[in-house]
Amino acid sequence: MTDEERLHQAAWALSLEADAAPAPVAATRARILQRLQQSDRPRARRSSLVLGAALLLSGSVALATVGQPLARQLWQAVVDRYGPAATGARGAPRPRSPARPPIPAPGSGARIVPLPPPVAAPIPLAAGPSPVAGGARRARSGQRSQDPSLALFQRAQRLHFHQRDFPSALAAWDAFLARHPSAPLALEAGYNRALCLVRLGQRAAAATALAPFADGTVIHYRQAEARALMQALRAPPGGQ
Amino acid sequence: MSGSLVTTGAAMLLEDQASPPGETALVDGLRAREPGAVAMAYDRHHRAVRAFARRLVGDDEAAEDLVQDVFVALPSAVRRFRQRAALRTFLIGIAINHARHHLRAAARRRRTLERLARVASEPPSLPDEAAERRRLATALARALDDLPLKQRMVFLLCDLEHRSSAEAAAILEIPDATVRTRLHHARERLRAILAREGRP
Repeated sequence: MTDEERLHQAAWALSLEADAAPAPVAATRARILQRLQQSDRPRARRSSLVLGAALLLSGSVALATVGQPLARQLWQAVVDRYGPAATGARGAPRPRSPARPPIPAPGSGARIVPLPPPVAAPIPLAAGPSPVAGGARRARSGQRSQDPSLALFQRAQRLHFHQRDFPSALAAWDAFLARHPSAPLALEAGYNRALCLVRLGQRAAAATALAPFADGTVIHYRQAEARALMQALRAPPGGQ
Repeated sequence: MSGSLVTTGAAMLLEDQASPPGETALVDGLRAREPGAVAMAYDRHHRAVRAFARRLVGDDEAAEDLVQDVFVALPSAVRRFRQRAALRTFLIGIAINHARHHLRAAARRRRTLERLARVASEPPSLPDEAAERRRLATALARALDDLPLKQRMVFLLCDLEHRSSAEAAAILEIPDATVRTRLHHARERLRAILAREGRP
């Protein structure tokens, strides 16, 4: 093998390995949204305080006559929101601001619930499917959250990419898609199923499975690869 | 099925230039910090960003952290977005800007695992072909750690993501000729490293 061939093979192997591993899609999504919500709270608080302070300190005649009642209302709103301790004013404790509505998960209408507190011991990966407690889990270092669809997906992946048992892998992809047609990994499973059909020489079925990825009906990052496979499938069998 | 799996840079460029329907509305929503805009951007583009991150850092955990950083940074970064290319390409650019810390973390983890592997001497549990592929991927990931970051980025975009030099130049905001020069040096260096590792 030449050095160039070795590099080409290594690049292909690295791409394949990178694509094969499952991903904590839902957990990462929830973590992103939680971080954004946490970073938005201080910004909103600072903006309100700065606006209130700017209006009060401006000291114009117009504000003293027309704006005075407005300033009084604004000041009261600031006191009500942040409390006498934050403003130095004496008054009733501020009411709790309404909780920001959570951003729903895609397609299901389910709410993103607050994460559970961290546990002392690491959560071991389950050997088989484990029930989903509802909502998001924290992406802990060295750990992954497990749900039934993920376990099925991993099984199909092992059969396909590690054991290279394509007939069994095809059955496993079909089982995953039948049971979890709307799972976050369903698109990936559909594409891998198409690859299985290519490997098994089922050209017509493979072309049907690849078509939505190739023609953009399904928005997928491997569209170009799907198109190249479709072109190869159109070539006569046994040719280059 | 042989080299037909390798896609052309032109095809990838066309795919990324074609904006999916509703992308303008999504970008407007991101700029206005509308609730749900980041979630929608994630749902549409997380696979592409994750695939790029994994190829870049060669470590699943570091890649997942990088994916998080990309989408958390998106509401601020979208102010720079000019819509000359697709949002997906812009997200790749954000990943590149945030990659340095994660590359170091991934490299540290790789070195630690290699030291542990030498001590534990685990028997191989995968079939030969899969084991060989894993060995090659690991060797390349290790070799990429030794490349200067600028060469590594170019190699990733052109040889792992199969983008054209023109697109890599647009993402990295450098001239096309610079991309080709860095790619040449990257390939030279990687060939030498892999050849040394391949010798008994």
